[in-house]
Amino acid sequence: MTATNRAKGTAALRAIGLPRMLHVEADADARPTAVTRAPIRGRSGIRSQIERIEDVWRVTEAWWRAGAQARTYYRVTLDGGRPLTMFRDDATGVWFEQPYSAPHISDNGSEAP
Amino acid sequence: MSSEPISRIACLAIPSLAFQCELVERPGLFGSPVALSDEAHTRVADLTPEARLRGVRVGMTLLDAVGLCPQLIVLEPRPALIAHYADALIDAMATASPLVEEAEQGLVFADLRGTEGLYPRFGDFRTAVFAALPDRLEPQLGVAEARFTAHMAALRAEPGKGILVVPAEASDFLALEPVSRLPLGIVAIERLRMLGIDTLGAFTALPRSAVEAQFGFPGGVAWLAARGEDPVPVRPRPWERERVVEHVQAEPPFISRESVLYAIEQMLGRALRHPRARHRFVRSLRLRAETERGALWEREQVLREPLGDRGRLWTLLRSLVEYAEFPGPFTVITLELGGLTEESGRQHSLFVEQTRRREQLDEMVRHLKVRFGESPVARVVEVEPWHRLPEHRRALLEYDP
Repeated sequence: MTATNRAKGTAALRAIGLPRMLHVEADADARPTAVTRAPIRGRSGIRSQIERIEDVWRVTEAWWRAGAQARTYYRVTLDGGRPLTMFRDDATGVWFEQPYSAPHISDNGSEAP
Repeated sequence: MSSEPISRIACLAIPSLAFQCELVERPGLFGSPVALSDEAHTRVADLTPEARLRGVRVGMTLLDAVGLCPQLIVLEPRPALIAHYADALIDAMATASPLVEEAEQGLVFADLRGTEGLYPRFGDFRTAVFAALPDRLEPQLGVAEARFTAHMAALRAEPGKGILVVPAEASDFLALEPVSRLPLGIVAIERLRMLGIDTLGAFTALPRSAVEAQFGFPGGVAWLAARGEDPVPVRPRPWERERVVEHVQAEPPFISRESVLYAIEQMLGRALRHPRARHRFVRSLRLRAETERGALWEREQVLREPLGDRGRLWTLLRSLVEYAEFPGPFTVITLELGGLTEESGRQHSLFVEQTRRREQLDEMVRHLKVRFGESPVARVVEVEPWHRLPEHRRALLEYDP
């Protein structure tokens, strides 16, 4: 769906809101303690200490399939009070930064239209 | 009656304006059998008493009329002349009151409230109005508390004279008027006649409820009017200060369309430079042109939104003229900018502005697409807004105007 379609004569769809890779230091319980953002435009990443973890939740997409995606999201407060939402890909253990909001639920209560 | 205090509504009427205009323009015709043809030039529309004495009647074909009266002088109506004298009636009434309504050509009403200090007596008012009229034009003046009564008084007055009807006498004054004078349709009047009701006195003797049951709301208004209590007010024309009028006279006349356009463009410039129009917008445009033979060409355009821009006003005026058929070479052209607004700024419509911005954006994107090969602008579209993974919910769609 989000694959870029540049075929001539068709309008191209480009994905937005993609996760950005994050370097995370974790404690023995695999809970994040500090983050370093990936360098952007030649600027080196800045390391920030995590002051506290505000919320944790899991999202599993199509768990019945072989290529299911499972993520554990953390909403944390960095030193200085700045909030950050990030997740760990449970399959690979890689960390990403990604803003998260609740999915839009249609009027009849179902998730799908 | 000239010592009576003034009443509320005045009516100035010339029952056959087209005919009177011609007689004023050609005083030598007084005392001769004269008939005025209709616009199709086939039938008699009006005639002098001398022509009537010889058997000529209104509605008769011109051939029959000339057969009955070989000396009959037949005149053609000249709309430009009629409009000129109709305007003179309005101007005369406007010298006495600022609230003037032209009900039709040759019938003008004025609201006299507030003018009691200027014209405490009916005679003062009559003198002021008649003094402002062109020579030899003799309209009939009626003044009363209600509009219908004033109109009937004007119709009953002799040419060049006036009648004041005081409120207490209005009902008696109107009682003998025929029901055909009532502000009702022909069918309603025919029904009244079939019922044996021929005068306003007989009409007002009916209960109002019975009249309204038969003729509805207009019946009730007519019943009140016939009692001298007409509730219909004077609906004044726009204030003079809200209009700017420019004239141009041509000798020799304007023959080509280009010369007419050139004259109108010059008038537009003059009109917009007028102190009354400066920093204000225009709501309506009116063009009037007269030919040598008295034919009238007229166009009016009410603007969708007030305009102050000369270029846009000129585009509208040009479109009125470019494809019009003229009745002949013009000797006089008049341009009127009407409904001048008070504001000097513009409150844009939210949606019109959005449309313009969208057009500007489309144009800009087309240029960029030509230059870079692809559109640099995209729209955010919802793809799967219910998806649990945020990157699946929305996407960017290339903006391709």
